[in-house]
Amino acid sequence: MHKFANPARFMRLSKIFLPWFMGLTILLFASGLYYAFFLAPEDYQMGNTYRIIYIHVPAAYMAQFGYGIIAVASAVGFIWKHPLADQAARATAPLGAGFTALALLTGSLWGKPMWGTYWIWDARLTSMLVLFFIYLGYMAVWETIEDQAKAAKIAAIVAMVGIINVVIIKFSVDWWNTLHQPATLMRLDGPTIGGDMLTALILMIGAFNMFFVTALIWRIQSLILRRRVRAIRIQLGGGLG
Amino acid sequence: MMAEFMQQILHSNDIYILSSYVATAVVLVIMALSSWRSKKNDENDLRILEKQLNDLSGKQN
Repeated sequence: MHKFANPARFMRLSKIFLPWFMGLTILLFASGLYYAFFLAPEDYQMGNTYRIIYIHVPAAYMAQFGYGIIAVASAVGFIWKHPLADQAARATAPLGAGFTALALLTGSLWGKPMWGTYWIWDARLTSMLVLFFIYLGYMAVWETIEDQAKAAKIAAIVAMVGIINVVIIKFSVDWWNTLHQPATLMRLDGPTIGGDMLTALILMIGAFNMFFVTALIWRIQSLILRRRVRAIRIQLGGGLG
Repeated sequence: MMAEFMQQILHSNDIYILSSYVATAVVLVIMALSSWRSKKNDENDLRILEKQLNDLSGKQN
């Protein structure tokens, strides 16, 4: 694990895999959208409006998955002082925040026709909004503290404490009475949808995942390059020592 | 024809589906472009600095 997480090796391997990930992202989006609009049937109660779930569910899933990555990478960086872990956590944050914003936006566009309101202070919706603010806070720590080692340490603490909110999001629909429906996919007794509806949802989750991996690789590459730029600037500033 | 189509969309729930997918497309494009551009900018900075470093070490030698 430590061997593969070497920055130079990461740059080399990512250059090989990136075109494959990009191709897979396009393929999964094309097939997912085809299933979502042409093969998945209309819902007998919600009509066509239910098709918002094909973007809302993957966005909400990625918002929480992204935070999970930040928390794990932060813990690795905090405990083992791994050079790539903090960078991976930092690179994930803007993407996670984007997916959280998307989940909130598509959720409110679902809420209006289904519940009659764009927003309600429901446990699931509120905990997702809290997640968005945690993402913003995490990014603010990195941007405002100049000493990168100190920023990494404080950001890691924020990330590890914030994971509690992801647990709250997951179980909010079980712990409280909410307007938001219970889990559809991640259930002990299996998914509550099937057939082409399930295939479309799985394909779209796959597409969002591959998109996330592709964008994350670009961001990690950028942060690694930025470290090299900083090192060379110091070298040049010192007249090559 | 177009006006009729727009009228139909605006008076049905289709407007919510359309808005969701358009918003998603916009957010995903922004995320992809900002990630890609950030990497490209850092690559360019590194190339320029490496050239400066080579020139400087060439002069010193």
